[in-house]
Parts: sequence; C-alpha cells; structure tokens
Amino acid sequence: MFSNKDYKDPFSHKKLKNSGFPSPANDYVENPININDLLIKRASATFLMRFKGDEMIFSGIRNNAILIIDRSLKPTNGNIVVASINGEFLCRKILLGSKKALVTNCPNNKILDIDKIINFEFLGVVTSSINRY
Amino acid sequence: MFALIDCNSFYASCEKIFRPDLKDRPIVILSNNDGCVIARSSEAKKMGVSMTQPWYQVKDQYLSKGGVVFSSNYEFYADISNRVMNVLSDLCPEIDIYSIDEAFLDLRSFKKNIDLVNFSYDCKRKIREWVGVPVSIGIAPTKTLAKLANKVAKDDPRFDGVVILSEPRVIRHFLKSMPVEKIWGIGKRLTARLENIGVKSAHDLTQIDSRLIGDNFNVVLERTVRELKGQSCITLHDFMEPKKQIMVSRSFGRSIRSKNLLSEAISFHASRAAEKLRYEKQKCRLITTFIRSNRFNTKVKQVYASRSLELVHPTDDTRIIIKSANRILEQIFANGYQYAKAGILLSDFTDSYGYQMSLFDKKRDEESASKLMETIDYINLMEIAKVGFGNQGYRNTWKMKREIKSQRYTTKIDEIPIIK
Repeated sequence: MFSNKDYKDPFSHKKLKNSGFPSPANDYVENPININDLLIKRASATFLMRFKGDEMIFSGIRNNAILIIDRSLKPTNGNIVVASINGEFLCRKILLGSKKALVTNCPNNKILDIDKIINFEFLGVVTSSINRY
Repeated sequence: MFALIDCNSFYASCEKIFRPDLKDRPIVILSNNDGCVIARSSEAKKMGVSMTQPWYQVKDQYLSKGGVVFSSNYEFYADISNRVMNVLSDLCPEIDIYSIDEAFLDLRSFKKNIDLVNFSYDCKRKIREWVGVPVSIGIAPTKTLAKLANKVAKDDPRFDGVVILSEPRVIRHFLKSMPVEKIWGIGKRLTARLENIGVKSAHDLTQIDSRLIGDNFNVVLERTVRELKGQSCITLHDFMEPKKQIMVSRSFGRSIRSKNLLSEAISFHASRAAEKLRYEKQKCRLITTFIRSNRFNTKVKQVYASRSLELVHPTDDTRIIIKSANRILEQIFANGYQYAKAGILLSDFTDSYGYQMSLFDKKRDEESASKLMETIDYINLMEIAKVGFGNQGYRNTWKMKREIKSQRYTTKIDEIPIIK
C-alpha cells in the first residue's frame, strides 16, 4: 500500500550526515520533498496501472506510462478516467455534457458512447501519469 | 453501540478488483500448495463448492462449469485489507481489527450522536467505491449481537447488506428467529448440549437462569448470554475464535521520532507475537509491521505506514520474525514524524488449512526440505550471505505449487495491472 512513508526520499542526506562534520545548516533541516505527498492524496483509494498504447499520447500519456488512479474522486467533464467496458479496463478522457462519452485527443479518435455500452463501470480518476525516459 | 464490518467473500472479492471480466463468475481460492478450497465467491458457493474441500475432488466439475481458480495471494489480500481498515479508521475513532476481513467499530467513541443508517451506507459505499470490495454491516448494542446482525445482513438479500438492531423489542424478535448455533462462539458440541436442555433459539438462551449456565457451562457462555441481553462485556481486543492471525501492538507513552527506539519496540512486539504463535502451535508465512502517528493529535503531521514480508517457509522462530519485522521497519520508516504506535501482525498460518495434505508420500523429503528452507530464510535475514541454490531449481518447484496465483497488483511495480 502507499503511504507517505513507503517512499524513500530521493535526495537523502545520509552521506552528508556521516561525513563527520556537524553541518552548519542543521538548524534549518526540513523534510525533503516527498513525491508521494505530491502525487497521492488518499492512499487507501489510490492504485497504479500501466498504460500500453498510443491512444492517449496527445493527453501526455505515453506507452508504458504509470497511471495514478484515485478511486475516491468523482469524474468531472474532461477528466482522464479509468473505466471497465465489457470486462476490460480502458483509460480515456471522459465527456459529461449532453452526450456522455469516452474519447481521446488523437486525430483518429474513436468516440465511445457511454449510454450505448451495456457493461460500463467507472473505476476512478487518473490524477497523474508518470512517463519514464 | 458496536458495528461489525465484514468484507463479503473477501479473498474472492480481492481477486475481482482488477479483473472486471470475472464480475459474475464463480471464484475459488486455494490454500498454500493448492491443497484445498479456502475461499469462495457467492457464485462458487451456489455451485456447491464447500469450504476446506480438497481441490482435486471438485476440480474437474468446477472448471468444466466455467469456474475460475486462484492460489492464495496473501500479499495482495493483506494490502487490500490494510486499505479497508484505513478507510474505516478515518470514519470511526475506535476500531478493533478482528481479522483480515472484519473489524469492530466502537460507535460510542463518537462525541455526537450519529445517524446509524447514514453512517452504515456511507461506510459501505466508500469501501466499495474507494477500495473495491463489498462489505456487510451489523450494528447492535454488543459485539455478539453486532456479529449476529452482520450474519443476517450478509445472508438475507432483503437487507441490502446493513442490519441495525437498536430497539429492545426488535432485538427480542430477532433473537427468537435465530438458531442458537449461529451465535458467535457457540460450536456444534455446545449447540447439542444446549438443545438437550431445550435451548433452540438465541432467545431461549437469554431465558435460562444465569446460575445454571455458570454451574453447567463455562464463563464464556455466561458472557455470551449477557451480551445477547444487551449488556456489553466483550471489550476491544477480546478474541474468542481460534486465531487466524496474531497482532501485538502498543501505543507509546510519548510519541517517538527515533528509528532505534521504534526498532526496539518492534523487536519486543515481534518476540511476544512469536511466543503467542508457538502457543497456538502455528507457523506463519506473512509478517506485517506498522507504525503510525497519533490520529487524535491534529497538531502533528499524520503518518501511517505498513508493509508485509512473505517468507519462503512458514516459521515460528523468534529470530526470523524479529529480523523480518525490522527489515520492514527499515523500508517504511521516515525521519521527521512523531510515531505514537507500532505493532506487528503475523498471518497466513499453515496449520489452519491441512498444510500436509499433499505430502503423504513425500513426507521425509519435505521435512528435510523444510529444515533447509528455514535455515535459508534465517541466513538470508541475517544478511551473512545470500544463500540460494545452484540453479534455483528446487526453489522453483516449491514456488510452482502456487501456480495459479494472481499478480501482486498493488505491492510490486512489475505486476501492476495493464490498461489500454
């Protein structure tokens, strides 16, 4: 499970501490930036999935990106979401206007009309995606 | 009032979280080494698969009817359980985790009166939507009654998963329709003895003279009767059923920041837990360590961290348990927080599910292997050297017994679900 502490800080000051010199900055020690705090608001409702494909490239999600999904959030118009459609998970942009649909920003975008999908279940909102280079 | 929150077919529900294709399919989960059935989805129950039934007896028929089978994936279940318990502890200040899939909430811990119906449906909805597992909720003036209410909530679809018993008149009516064997802690033998003296329903039990119970039965039953009468006497952390897990935890007098102090506390809890484990004549494979800040002190930055470690071989060895617990602490500890509580949970016991079933012809091999595995676990943990086998051959056959195991979707980055 994810929680603040599961994450090892990337900017560890360990080496400095062991160098023998008392750091003159000791009085100003602050917690290092914690990426988990930044990306995860509700750990018990947050899940990771790996995205495969090019369909979401124009929303900034590349092949193999890690999606951070918060199941406690309600989707609003234009959110990127994860839903299951006929027994399969799909990551798409959701439109909640007069017509409810799942779309991509791609030129060859296929519009999925939510009302016409028999087996539609909303899972959660994608709050960020991590593309590794 | 107490609430008992119980996840419906927990292991099977976990397996469905990331498999929307299995939504209405029958699912069974097998014990270690895939010996027997230890959990069933409601669809599998309807197909007539029973609990702890040897897998080879049902395999062919079950699979031919479209049933789905998994080996137990304890790392995954433990993580989902953690999430459920975290959601609950945010909803209620006083929570008593009873097992991997059940928790009591002490509703007296709310400062204001709450609307029990709203509260129940809020709990149910949040766990369903946020974590992904369905729960049933029973609410009543005592834990024994809450447990009964929960049973009805789970078994009778008319109640939509929530049963609240508050009016004495309703409780009386409820107990009249409740056979005595459904009561928490009353087993087959006791049921037979009670039926001999004319006690059939839970209501009958509340009508016997308490001296009679004291003289002819034990204190546990006396306590159960008082609980049925609405007098709460099972305090938090009282366990009545044979243990499936052992938890040792304690709040610190003053919160601490140092990892060394936490490590001392955790080592102490670990050795206590190991003692209890040997007392129960069990061995565990899963060791969980958790550390947390004081939830009720809003002035400090809140933290809750927990993680589990799965051993290759079940153990009751204090040294291994202490080392494992501390290894987890190394991973979850972070500087800069005030820790108010630490604890350890031992689970995935081997004795509980006929561990030796598949071993009858290879018993001696297995025994010496078991010694070897234990030694390896031990040496690995001591970090003297990483000991493995030349080609890892034996280890692989050992692992392969759990071949139909699902991914560790939430605890291993290489095993997270794939999505398009």
